[in-house]
Amino acid sequence: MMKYISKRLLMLIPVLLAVIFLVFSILNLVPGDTAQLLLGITASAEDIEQLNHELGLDKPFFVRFFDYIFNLIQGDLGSSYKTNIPVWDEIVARFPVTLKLSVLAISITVFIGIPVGMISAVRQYSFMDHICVVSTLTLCSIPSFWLGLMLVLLLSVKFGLLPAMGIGSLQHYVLPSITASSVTLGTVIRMTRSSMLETLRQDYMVTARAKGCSENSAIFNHALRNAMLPIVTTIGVNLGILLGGTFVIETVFTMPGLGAYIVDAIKMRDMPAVMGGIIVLATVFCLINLIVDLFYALIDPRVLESYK
Amino acid sequence: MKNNSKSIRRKSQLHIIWNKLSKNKSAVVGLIVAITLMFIAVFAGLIVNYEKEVINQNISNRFQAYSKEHILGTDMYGRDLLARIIYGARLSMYIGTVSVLFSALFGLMLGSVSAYYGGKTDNIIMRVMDILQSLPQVMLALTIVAALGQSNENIIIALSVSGIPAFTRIIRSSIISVRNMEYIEAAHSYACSDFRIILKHILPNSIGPLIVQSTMSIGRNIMNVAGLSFVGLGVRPPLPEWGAMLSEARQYMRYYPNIVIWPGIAIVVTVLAFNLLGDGLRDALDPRLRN
Repeated sequence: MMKYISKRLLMLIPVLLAVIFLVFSILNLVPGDTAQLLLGITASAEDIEQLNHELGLDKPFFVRFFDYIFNLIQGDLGSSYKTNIPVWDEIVARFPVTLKLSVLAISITVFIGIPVGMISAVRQYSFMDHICVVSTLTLCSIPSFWLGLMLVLLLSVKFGLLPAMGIGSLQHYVLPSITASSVTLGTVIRMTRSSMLETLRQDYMVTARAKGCSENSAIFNHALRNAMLPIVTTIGVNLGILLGGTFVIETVFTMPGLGAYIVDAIKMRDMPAVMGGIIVLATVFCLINLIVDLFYALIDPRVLESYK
Repeated sequence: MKNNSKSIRRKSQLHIIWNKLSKNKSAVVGLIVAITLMFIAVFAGLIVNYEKEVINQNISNRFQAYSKEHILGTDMYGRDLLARIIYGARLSMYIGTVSVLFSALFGLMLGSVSAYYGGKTDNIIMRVMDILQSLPQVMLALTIVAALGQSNENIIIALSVSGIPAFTRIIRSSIISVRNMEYIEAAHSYACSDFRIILKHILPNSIGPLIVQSTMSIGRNIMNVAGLSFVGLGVRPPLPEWGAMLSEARQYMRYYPNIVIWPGIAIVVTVLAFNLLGDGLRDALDPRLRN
């Protein structure tokens, strides 16, 4: 197991470098002069040149890239052009909000999605199954931010049950995480259903029943366990999608998360902040993929065996 | 004679798909709604007067309730809500379809080259796709918008680029599955050019997954555009994009909920139509489910 983990960890390094390179090069394709943008139209040519020099923007692309990587390793993502606060500090302060929101949302998704998907598969073509299929497809078609607005209208404005904005207490996270889970719930139910439908038809199900397994044991220990691999993948991918997509939900509920930070930074063309935010999210995304792969080894001994 | 037999075969294949699709009620509903929306998008200019009803502000007329004149009422600037939603269909459909068209086109080129030549070419293309996919799709689109700045064209570029990897993969895998068929060998043996083999022999036989992915992507892109516009990084007001309308109307929703309800319903109906259609097409095109 240790060998497997260390192998995967080593493989993460080139992936991360590639991702950082991707983000760095896209964001450095920016048309227009950053210094000009910061100083305004009236700035003199010398001022612009000096600021470019101070920001290190006059250096060649690859020099800047390696400078950035070097600073990144030391935990320095540069300072915001607008506020001069170190980007790293801002991210550390805001990332917990985004993470909490995403984890709560994925928990709701898992605790509702997997049971519903299972029931739907076990009782295929039943009334329950039909409702499930229709409602998951509808759920996949509702934009999360609109659902958020509707929940606010109904639960906060009309009935005054839950707070509509801010992050003061756990209550503040209820509406946002329900809203965020709507993004992933549909896919997880669908994946669970189709994956279970596949395993329920396998020969080993007949064997399990023939050797006297109870129906519950057959479904949980044989069908579900074998169906788990694609479900775990979907959950992992969806946690990544959530982390990358919370900026919309943070905007709806005015939460000071990392996503909202990136959006604001983009609007103000504050490039160090945009770059730092996106690179941190991308790193977390890659880490989640790694954790999902490690989970495979836990769920499926065959995966681990192939690495021995 | 040759032409005749070809047309018969073509028709019969489409016929099978149509037969399967037309039996699927929800897919037919999706198809009808999608076609209707396409018509509305194309003829929006004939249905409503852009200058007068969609853009022109008339403060004295604001927050009108439902009436014969304004079926869905008016928004905070006195503009007819229905007229704006109709025009929004044009914007959303335009951005959604054009971006999918570009992703599909580039995906088609990269995927077929990758699958057909294999080896080093395949390896390079697929590693680049891996890197592009190491960011969530929305995040990649957001990064590109951040770099290029905000305009309708840049949003199309951002969504197109972020959609390319998925298309490339799908096309690559479906081409690999037909690459070693006898009829490709036959084409080689009578000296077809590579280009002709890809275009005339491989693509028609592996187009199914592409159609499904395109249909689904139109819906997803419409939703992504709305999301980006909602946070203020997509289409900008006063253009009547649905997400931008929601973002503008948000601060008044407490007292006038209808101006946030209807644009959202427009998004849901549109995306749902494409999802239903895509689902139906997937079933109809799935070779395992044929017969």
